[in-house]
Amino acid sequence: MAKILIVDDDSALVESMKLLLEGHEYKALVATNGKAGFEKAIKEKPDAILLDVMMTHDKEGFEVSRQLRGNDSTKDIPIILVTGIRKVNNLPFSYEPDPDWLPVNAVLDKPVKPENLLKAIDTVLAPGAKAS
Amino acid sequence: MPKLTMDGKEIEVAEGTTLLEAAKQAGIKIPTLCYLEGIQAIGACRVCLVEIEGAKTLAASCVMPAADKMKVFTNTKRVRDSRRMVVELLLSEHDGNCQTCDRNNDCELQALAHELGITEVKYEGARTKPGKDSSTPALVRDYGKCIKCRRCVTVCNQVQSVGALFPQFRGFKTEIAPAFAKELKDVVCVQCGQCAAVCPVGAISEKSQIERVWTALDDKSKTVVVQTAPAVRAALGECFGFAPGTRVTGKMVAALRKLGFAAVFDTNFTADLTIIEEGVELLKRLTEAVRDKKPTVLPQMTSCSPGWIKFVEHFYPEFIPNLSTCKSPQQMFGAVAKTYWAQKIGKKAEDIYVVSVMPCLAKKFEAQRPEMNASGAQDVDAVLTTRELGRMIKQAGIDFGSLPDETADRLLGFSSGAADIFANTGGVMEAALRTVYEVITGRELPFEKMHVGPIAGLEGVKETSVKITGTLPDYSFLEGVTVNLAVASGLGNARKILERMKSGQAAYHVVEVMTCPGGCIGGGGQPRLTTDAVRKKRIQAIYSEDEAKKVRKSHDNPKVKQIYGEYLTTPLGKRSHHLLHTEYEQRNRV
Repeated sequence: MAKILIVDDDSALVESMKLLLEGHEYKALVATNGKAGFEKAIKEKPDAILLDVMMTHDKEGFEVSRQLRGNDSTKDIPIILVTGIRKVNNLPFSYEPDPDWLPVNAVLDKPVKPENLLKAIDTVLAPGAKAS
Repeated sequence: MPKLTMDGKEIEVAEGTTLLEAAKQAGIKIPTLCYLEGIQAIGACRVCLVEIEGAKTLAASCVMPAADKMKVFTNTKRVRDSRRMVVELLLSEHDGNCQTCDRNNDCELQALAHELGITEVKYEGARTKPGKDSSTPALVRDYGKCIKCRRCVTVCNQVQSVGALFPQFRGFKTEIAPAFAKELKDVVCVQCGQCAAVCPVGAISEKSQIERVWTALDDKSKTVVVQTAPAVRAALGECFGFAPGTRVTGKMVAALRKLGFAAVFDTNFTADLTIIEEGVELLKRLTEAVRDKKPTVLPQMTSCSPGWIKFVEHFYPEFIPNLSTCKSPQQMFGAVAKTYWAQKIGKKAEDIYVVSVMPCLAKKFEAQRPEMNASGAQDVDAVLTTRELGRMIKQAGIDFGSLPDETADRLLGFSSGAADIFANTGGVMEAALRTVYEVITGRELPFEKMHVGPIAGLEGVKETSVKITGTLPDYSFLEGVTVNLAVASGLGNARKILERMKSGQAAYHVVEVMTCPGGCIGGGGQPRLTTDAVRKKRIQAIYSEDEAKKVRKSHDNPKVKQIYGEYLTTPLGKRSHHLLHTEYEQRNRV
């Protein structure tokens, strides 16, 4: 059973994602801020991480993604950014993976449809899929 | 339709055609000097003289209408001698020194003297009073070199409707100067440099900052970076013998590296940034007006062109609230280079020296506006025109034609095709539409190749409307709304739009104005002489540059996303407001 780490400070959203994942035979782990998420990723070695951006500060998820890539024990774990930053910050674009500064595998804008979240997880867990 | 012969060749021309135009149609070259196609034909210089059978005197072909049965001769001894004498008389007054003149090898009078076979100036007599006016940031008038052709007067008054230059005094004492022969700083001048763009000699030109840039490049305590405006790449080649419309982006980047710049960036990057900020500003104004029914200032007017900004500040201050608060891409670049990029390389703002290469003279004025120091230092330290860069490359002994194509440094140098088209009239509007339309509807702008045909091209005032349908839920309040757009290039055309709005004859949501006819591709700092034929070729080169890009919309530029993700956070946010936006001031009308 694949382990998915959810790093998000929105408890209601975490709960619904957890239920969704567990309903689809994933084991869900949870951390509610970037620091706890990073520590849990080292300890638990999840198969993928769902990472929020705006937690204790506005760019936390971006920084955590680089931290995860910079650590030997987490550098290969696929990261899916799940963020409401586009709407909150009134951006006319969605963020995308960028090896220069945003080393994640995918970016999903909140609200995310359950089928899109599951599809993104399937894609990063597929045999041959590589961390960005 | 008059039928006439010219040098024995029978031709038929439309009623009202001048002999000069008839000659052109017949493939006969007549030299000119004061004439400016489509702008000025006043017969002042007499260089275009021709002989007409039966006429007592020679006639200036630029003002003589063709008539039926006329027999015209353009190459008789009398014509050749007279033209030569006209030019010899001009040279006898001209306080010129070709070897040290800024216009050496780029001077219409010098070229004409050579073409007419003048090897000595036979006439001795009074010379034009020498003297210089360096009172403004962008322009130097060297009035001893002025040949009174009046091209600058016509362009300043009729094309730009600014009225800074007129003939002062009479007869031999005539000076082409501001009112009462004051200095340029004492009258209203928007520093557009269209006077310098049409001057056939070295009487008015840009105030050079070449030495300042060489000094900076030699200063090891400075990190000297350069940005190049989109229009430069479509014209710089002309300084090296390439045909107008030759794209030389890659060679330009290679040349800048050879000159010693620590990083070669691109104003295009901040053109993309402008679209994000200006686009969100427009969405905010539309939301307030349409959804919230709040009193909102519309149309939003573009703010990229510093001559236009100064024009509004002087002549139409009531429209200042309409101007987008976005700085021009040049100034946005200076501000982010000295903060965001400086931090990345561990430097302070004062350690970085920002050089701009612009097709524009007003950018020299803009860079020294006192408010343009958001980084804590002057954001842009030196501004070169396209012509000045051409001179620097020659001074460095670089063989431009043999340079390889290189690409700009990525972080502040990567750009979308939408940024390229900032160079063309209608381009800022099109670039903004590519983003705003997609944000509102989720669909790409529905025009072939995303080019908004009705607002492209050289016509001075262009209007069109875009009906918004199929909106995304967040913008459903705009469903069915027709957005009215107007585009003007040349300040005389801008004045027409403003007057129409003032009289209630027109109402727009968005207005784009570029100071120079045709947009930045026809800027006052571009290689001379910019005719409409040259403008068209440069415009086409810019569209080709855009179409060749993989990324063609500003909001798809990954480096724009990076700067928001790493630094700016949100459009119109606190940091963006400080670095990327500005305020305007009402200025004297006279």
